[in-house]
Amino acid sequence: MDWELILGLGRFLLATTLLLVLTIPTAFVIIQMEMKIIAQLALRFGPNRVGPRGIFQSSIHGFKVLAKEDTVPDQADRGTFTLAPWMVYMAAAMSMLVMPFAPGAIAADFNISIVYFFAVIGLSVVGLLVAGWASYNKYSLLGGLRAAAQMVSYEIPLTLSIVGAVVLAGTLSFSELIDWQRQHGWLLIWQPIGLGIFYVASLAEINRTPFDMVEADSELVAGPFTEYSGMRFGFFFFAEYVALFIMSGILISLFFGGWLAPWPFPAELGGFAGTLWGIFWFFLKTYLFVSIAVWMRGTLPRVRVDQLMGMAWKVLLPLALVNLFVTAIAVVVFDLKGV
Amino acid sequence: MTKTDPEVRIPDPIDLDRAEEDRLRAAAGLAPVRPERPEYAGFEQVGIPDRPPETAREMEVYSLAEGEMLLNMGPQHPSTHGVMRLLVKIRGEVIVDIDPVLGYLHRGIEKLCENATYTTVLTYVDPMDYLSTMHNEHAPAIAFEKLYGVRAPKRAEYIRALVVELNRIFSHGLMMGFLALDMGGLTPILYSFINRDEIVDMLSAISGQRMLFNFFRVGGVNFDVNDEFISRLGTWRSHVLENIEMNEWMITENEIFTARTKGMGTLTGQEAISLGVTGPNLRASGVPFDVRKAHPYSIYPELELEVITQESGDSYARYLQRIAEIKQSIHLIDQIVDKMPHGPVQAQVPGIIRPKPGRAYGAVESPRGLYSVYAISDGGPNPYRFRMRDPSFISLQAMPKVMPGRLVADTMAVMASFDPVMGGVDK
Amino acid sequence: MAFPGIGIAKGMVTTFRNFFAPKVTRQYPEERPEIPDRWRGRLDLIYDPFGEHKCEVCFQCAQVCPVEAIDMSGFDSQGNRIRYGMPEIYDERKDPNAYRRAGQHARPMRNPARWDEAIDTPWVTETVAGFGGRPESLVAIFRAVEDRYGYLPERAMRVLSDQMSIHWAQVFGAAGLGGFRLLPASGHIVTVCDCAACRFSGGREVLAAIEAELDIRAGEETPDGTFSLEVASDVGAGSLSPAIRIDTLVFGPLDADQARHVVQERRKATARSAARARS
Repeated sequence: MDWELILGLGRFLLATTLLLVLTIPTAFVIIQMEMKIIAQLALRFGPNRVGPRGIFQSSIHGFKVLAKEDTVPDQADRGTFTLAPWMVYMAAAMSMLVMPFAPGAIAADFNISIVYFFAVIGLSVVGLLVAGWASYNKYSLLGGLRAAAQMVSYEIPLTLSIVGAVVLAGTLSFSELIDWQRQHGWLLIWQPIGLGIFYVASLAEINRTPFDMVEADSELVAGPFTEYSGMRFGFFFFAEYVALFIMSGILISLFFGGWLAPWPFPAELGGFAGTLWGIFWFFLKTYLFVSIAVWMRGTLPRVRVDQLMGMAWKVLLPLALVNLFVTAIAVVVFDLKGV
Repeated sequence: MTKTDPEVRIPDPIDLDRAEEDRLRAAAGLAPVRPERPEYAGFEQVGIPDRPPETAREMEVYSLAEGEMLLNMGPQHPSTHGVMRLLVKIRGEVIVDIDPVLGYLHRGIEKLCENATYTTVLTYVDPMDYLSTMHNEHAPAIAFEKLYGVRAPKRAEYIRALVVELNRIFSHGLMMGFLALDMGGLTPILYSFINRDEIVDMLSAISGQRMLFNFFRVGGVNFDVNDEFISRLGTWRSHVLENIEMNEWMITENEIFTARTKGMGTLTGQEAISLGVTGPNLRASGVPFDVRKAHPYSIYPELELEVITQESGDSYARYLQRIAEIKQSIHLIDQIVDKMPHGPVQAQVPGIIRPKPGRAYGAVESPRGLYSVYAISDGGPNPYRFRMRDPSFISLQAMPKVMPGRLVADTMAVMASFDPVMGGVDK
Repeated sequence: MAFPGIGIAKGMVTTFRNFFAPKVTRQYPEERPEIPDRWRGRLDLIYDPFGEHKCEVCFQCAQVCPVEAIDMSGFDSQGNRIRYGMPEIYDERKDPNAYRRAGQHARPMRNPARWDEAIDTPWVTETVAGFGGRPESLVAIFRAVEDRYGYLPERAMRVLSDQMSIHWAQVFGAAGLGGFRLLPASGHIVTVCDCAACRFSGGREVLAAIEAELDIRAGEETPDGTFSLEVASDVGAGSLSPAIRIDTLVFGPLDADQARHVVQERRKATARSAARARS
């Protein structure tokens, strides 16, 4: 009886169940935040009737989405039509496996978790493309193709921008990267350009304004989601906000110290209190960046699709390569490897 | 649910009627309603529409080359400024041809006006171009005053100019908001609405309504200025420039916005004149034509007014032109408030006027362009013919001229920069 | 397209400042807007300085309204009520409203149109003239007609509607409520009230008891024609629920046994008077 294996398996199952379950309240919270923040930016209140100061609005939206009629277009490809939301949602959920919430509180702490993450997060493209095609609708098709083009082309600057950080830290695992940041200072000082590229590319990867051409609702109604209603649309909707949460989480893990507390506070504590301390700082930083993304959504118009692609290939990619080049040279010249 | 059998074609009810009618006509020995045209033979289902083309232009639009697709930015759409259908022929993302289909908001206003007295006509024209109601009423008022042979008193003309300029300010302000909204910016529209709400509250103090004012009468205006209006005007005037500037900060220098509007939808001055485009769209292409200066009416000759133009003629220029015109209108309002004389606000005109038979034409500068009215009277209490020329209708004709070669995403941006209002287009 | 730039920063700063600025939304209904004096949206009738309504019911506004949004009614110099619009608005509704009708099974129309029955129209005109032609005397005229014909023929009601200038729906409603027989039956009409109050207080049991007693269902007639049973939404019982009405007499509040007893007594009385009539 290999108790360790069974215990490990049990812990893994518990962690994954917890994560899957936690995606829903996360999405609710972020949706509520978005509604209120965008409203306040526009000098209005946002929902403030449902619940004290309107905090139950988002949950009620969730229930409403469950109660809506499930329509499938007559000539749509029913199987793939149903499959598409699952693909998008699963891509988001799978990538949460490696999110570094706190020391020892990672569901699956591989030694190549960074590679795993970037591999899995790209799977959502397939879901959007399938949704666009299976809907038997020209708008959806256009939206799906835009999604494919945008997300595929932004994956390259996304992954290249962090290679500099990886080279500096000498590891591909999130927890070890954060450990390196504890010793050497947050990576944002070492890799500011990488941070900039990663931020822009991550917004484009999750289809957030100003890069939300995919669901440009003043042109294509709702892009690939046009024919989806009820819980099918709910999956897409939640997946988008969960992906926002995930990307912000990864952003802060890579560049802002992850679960580490900033300067006046002790970076890490030990034991169970340390786990709570880490979780607290992780969520604080993540929600800070989620708020910044929401702020940008409320302020900026959309970038046009060809300008978007042009930016990815002509600006971000060369910049990422230059960043990588300079970092690599610096590592060799100043002998920073494994510092 | 079973899939629809592609061999079974469910006939459109219109087809049935037409086919039925043709069958009956053939049985009676008459020619079919729409004669067979050999050049349209073989024009089967293209997707949209479901009947063969009937004009040469339709033929041009519906014939698809390799790789092209017809997309309907249909009457139900989040941002077509009303109900309008744009038939877009695209190759991938690039637009090859565009065909606006209008008439979804037609209410038969011109015909209705033939059965209404002249004063009632002034209430019927309100909801035409519903964002510039005062202008809608101003043009018929001028035409009817010419028909009847009466002049509005000076104070009435000043009040008319005041409310007309206020209307222009909020209409242009809304255009700023709609342009940003069609590009995805969610907040400038709300800032525009803050401005509009204040102005509309002001106008409700003077006329009694917030949107369809019913303020003009043949021979003057309905009510005089009251204290409530003056106090609200003062409050508004004290912070309107900050308001506009706040909105400008959001949009004007925004790199994303300029990248999407500079160089888009360029209309040269010559093209604009040949299409008949007027108003800020024309002046943004460099042609200094303003009805208030070219064919002066009301008290504009007494005010200091200069015609502003921009050079480039693209969407960005149209946007800047409107901001400049807002500032110009604020300046005009300042002058009007300074110079307003005392006096009556309505000439002595009976309730139902019966002008002598004749024809008259009245033109005003509305926020969308030259808005004019041609009225024919036959001596009775109702006009014999009441024809309105709306500028948005003409601006939409510029779409097929400027759009080919652009992307689908630009459609809305360019259309928003022309600022059409479907109520006026379809009457 | 250099990102980020001054323009974007300006926009972000503006929204950031507005995040902390006081919001402009008016929280209706806690904060009401200030309505200007000249506001035309108020639905008021104006009074003159003597306290009288300024409106003279000249119908000009109703006639000229392009969307027919105005209804009004008044009395002309003859004292006739004249109206522009549906008169149900100005009188009590005799038919149950949709809320009350909700949940009730559809009832067959009790009085199919028999517009071709022969009616002594001059007599009706005389009767109407005898009552002065006033609308308030409608029910009295109904009684006179019922006495003459044994029931209220529909044709007679239509003639009355025409001569007294009362809307047909009102006439029919008054007949249905007033306990008049609308079918040429010679028997007694037992009506069980089915309004919400009667239903909550046991009207269904009353109905079941009477159905058992008479051995017929609601809407039917006994084979010998002496009783017919029906259900109506209002028997004019006021607050005595549950109530039934036999011809024009209202009984209430009843429970099932009392209702059965009442109907039994009426049956016996009918049998006695029939026997007396034969002998």
